[in-house]
Amino acid sequence: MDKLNENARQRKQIKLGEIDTGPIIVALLLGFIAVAIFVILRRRSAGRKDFLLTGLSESGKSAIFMQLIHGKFPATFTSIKENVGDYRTGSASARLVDIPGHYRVRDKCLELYKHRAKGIVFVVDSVTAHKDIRDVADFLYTILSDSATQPCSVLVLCNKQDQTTAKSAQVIKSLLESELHTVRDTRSRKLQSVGDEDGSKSITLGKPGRDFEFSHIAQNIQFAEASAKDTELDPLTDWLARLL
Amino acid sequence: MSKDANPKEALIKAAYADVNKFGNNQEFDKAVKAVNRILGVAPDDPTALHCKVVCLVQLSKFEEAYKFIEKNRLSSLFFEKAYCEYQLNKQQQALKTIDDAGLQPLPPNLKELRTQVLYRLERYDECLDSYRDIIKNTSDEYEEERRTNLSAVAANLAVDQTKEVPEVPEDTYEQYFNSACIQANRQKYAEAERKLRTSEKLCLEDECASEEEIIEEVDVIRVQLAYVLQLQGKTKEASSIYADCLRHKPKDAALVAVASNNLVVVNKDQNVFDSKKKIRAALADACESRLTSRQKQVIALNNCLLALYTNAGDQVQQLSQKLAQTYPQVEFEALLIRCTQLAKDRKHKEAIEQLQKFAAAHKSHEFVSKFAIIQLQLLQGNRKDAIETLLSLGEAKYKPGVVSALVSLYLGTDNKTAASALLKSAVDWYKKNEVSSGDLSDMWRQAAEFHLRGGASETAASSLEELLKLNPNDTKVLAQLVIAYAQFQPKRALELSRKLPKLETLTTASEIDALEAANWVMSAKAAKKTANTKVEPSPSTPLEKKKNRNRKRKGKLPKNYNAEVAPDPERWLPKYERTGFRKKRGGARGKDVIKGSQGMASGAADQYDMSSRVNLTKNSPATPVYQETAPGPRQQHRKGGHKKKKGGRF
Repeated sequence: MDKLNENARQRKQIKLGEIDTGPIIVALLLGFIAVAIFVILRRRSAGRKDFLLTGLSESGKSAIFMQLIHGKFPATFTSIKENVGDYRTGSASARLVDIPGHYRVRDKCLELYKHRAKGIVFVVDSVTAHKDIRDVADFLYTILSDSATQPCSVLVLCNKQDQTTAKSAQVIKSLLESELHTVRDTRSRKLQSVGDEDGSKSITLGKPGRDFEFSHIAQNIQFAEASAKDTELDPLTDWLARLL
Repeated sequence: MSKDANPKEALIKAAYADVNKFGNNQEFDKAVKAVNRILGVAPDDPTALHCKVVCLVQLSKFEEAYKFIEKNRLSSLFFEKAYCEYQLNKQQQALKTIDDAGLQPLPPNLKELRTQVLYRLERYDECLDSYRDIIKNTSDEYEEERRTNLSAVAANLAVDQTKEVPEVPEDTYEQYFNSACIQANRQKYAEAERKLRTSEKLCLEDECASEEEIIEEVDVIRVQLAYVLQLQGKTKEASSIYADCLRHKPKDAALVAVASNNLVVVNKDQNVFDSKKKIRAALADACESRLTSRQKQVIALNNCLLALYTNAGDQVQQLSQKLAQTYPQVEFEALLIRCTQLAKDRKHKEAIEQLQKFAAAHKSHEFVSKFAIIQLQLLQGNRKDAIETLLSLGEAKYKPGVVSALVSLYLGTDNKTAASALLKSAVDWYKKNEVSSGDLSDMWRQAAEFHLRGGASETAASSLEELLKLNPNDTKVLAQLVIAYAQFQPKRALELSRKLPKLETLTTASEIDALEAANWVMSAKAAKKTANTKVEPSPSTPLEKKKNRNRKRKGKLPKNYNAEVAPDPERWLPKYERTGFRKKRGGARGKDVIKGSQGMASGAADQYDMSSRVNLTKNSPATPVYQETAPGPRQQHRKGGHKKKKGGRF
């Protein structure tokens, strides 16, 4: 009886050892694969590849979007939702997002896409810029001071250059600098909001105590002239090609 | 020595302080005195010299400032010198001064002044490019004025129909006005009228200007509106607007000149004495520098025409000679006026000689001159020479109008043979040249009728053949052709007559049926009469019913009924609706108390409601300091103001 008991014990031990190895290995592999997939997906979603078209209403964003994606110039209306399209140049391609300029919808749309933006195109209407310079500067400051957009390159595109009374990029740049100086001073006196998320903190632009200049900002900001009507978008396409 | 120097320096410092103070207060005459004190002590101080020039310019003493610059040889003050020349209407000198400054690129103030000078010199292409460049690269408080000036330049460019006019902004009433001028210059008068009415409305709503300024501005717009109406043929309305504006006695000399000139045009040969006064106002020296060369040219031409209407022969000769010398592009018009006057003076021969000389000298006007000569010859009663002149037109004499005139003249001189020969040669010429155009059918028809009446059947047949080619299905022409050929070529006539419709078709079964149908229609009318007769007895039926009702026994009347007294007319109304009914006091009092809504008065609410539109109304932009507007082909308003000099501070 003792011998039988010993034999049974020995057999059990051996079986357990043999059976345990396979399932454990399989389980470990499956777990590893799942974790790997999760990490890969997260990295993919966290990457920055989009280009945003921003600016005030009626400045020509949708017209530029149609020219770049479809090569057409249709009659456009004020957008209430973002337009998304694939922009291709040679072998590279990127997603182009046309964000509405109306003040009631632009913040929400910008919130959705700003974390994945690689570049931001700020479209200015060269004809009405000198009258709307306050609104333009305010919106531009909002974009530049957002911490989520710090890694982005920015192109300020002066549209509607085919018009007789359009301003040049140099004039618009000086107008924006003087106005942004005022906006910065105004914004610095704003009350802090309660329960603000860390990711949405705003940053003071430029060097305090000195006149605002675009060269003082950490981001790369360039100015260019264009006309969607006359299909003169070469500065924009060159800029996009350089970033892709 | 040091003690002596100290009082001078103290004096200079005090004077400079005074200059600065007066300059800030815009008291430039006092500033000039202070500068003179400085120059008394230090005659060569460049800052003081500059200050004096600026003060004189601010006081609009341009002549004095210009002489001062010349005397002291202030060669570095390019801008001030050029500006004085500009204001003294020496535009060419101003342009030369700016270009000789040797500053490339030009500083903004010189560039803008150069643009203004180009505008006055009427070099609008360069002016437009310059304004585009300025607007693109600058941005300050004078933005709207530059845009307005740009649209004024575009309006002047629109006079030339071949040039393309850029899009212009339309934000202010000045810009609407300039845009309307562009449409008027492009001869789109209805649209121009609409824009002008919009401009007038915007101008009346301007809250930054005083009442007098608004009246002046509206007068400018209304004169242009009257011009547009005049060109649309609404002369009476235009005339009343002109008279109304002139009654305000506007300060703008150019506006007076334009309105006066246009009234002269409306008057034509009526109201000659009033026109004389008007044209004298238009020719005044005050508006010489304000009008463009085209405007002056038109006014001078109208002056000649007015002299023609007043039968002032010598004056016509003088004025037309002067006109031809001053404005060579209207030389032909001046010559026509002169010849018309000669014709009035019974000097047709001299007039014809002058026209012939002009035609020989200017080939481009030869055709028109010959027609003028023909008109003079006809006025003279010299038909023979007129015929010769018409025949000398070369191939142009075969044009339908010319042929018609020649035939009329030949018939007038009882020369039927020549008329017939001419028509024949015209027919032959067109056959040779194979000109196929629709408007010749009239000539063919006239030629055919003429020859048929004259008995020349062969020639008539030729014309009719041509007509038949144009209209192969015209039966009338075919019939006429058959008649013509019957005179001299019966076989051909017989052949053509086969194409004519046959007599048998005139009596077809369908037509017989139509005739029967006509009879049927008459039968229907007879049937209608019968129906009408039958209806007649029916009105008698109600009469019988009425009689039956009358036979009823009379109703029972009350016992105390009095036929003489009329019953109460209100006897069937409710009591509260009858006359004299009194309302209960309690009810009335309650209603009165309850009347109206609770709370404060609505007037006060409106007064303190800050969201109402009255409080939200924004002030319209300030009137531009400088603006140029452009008129149409006829003389129109040209509004201009003095442009304040920039950089006047010192």
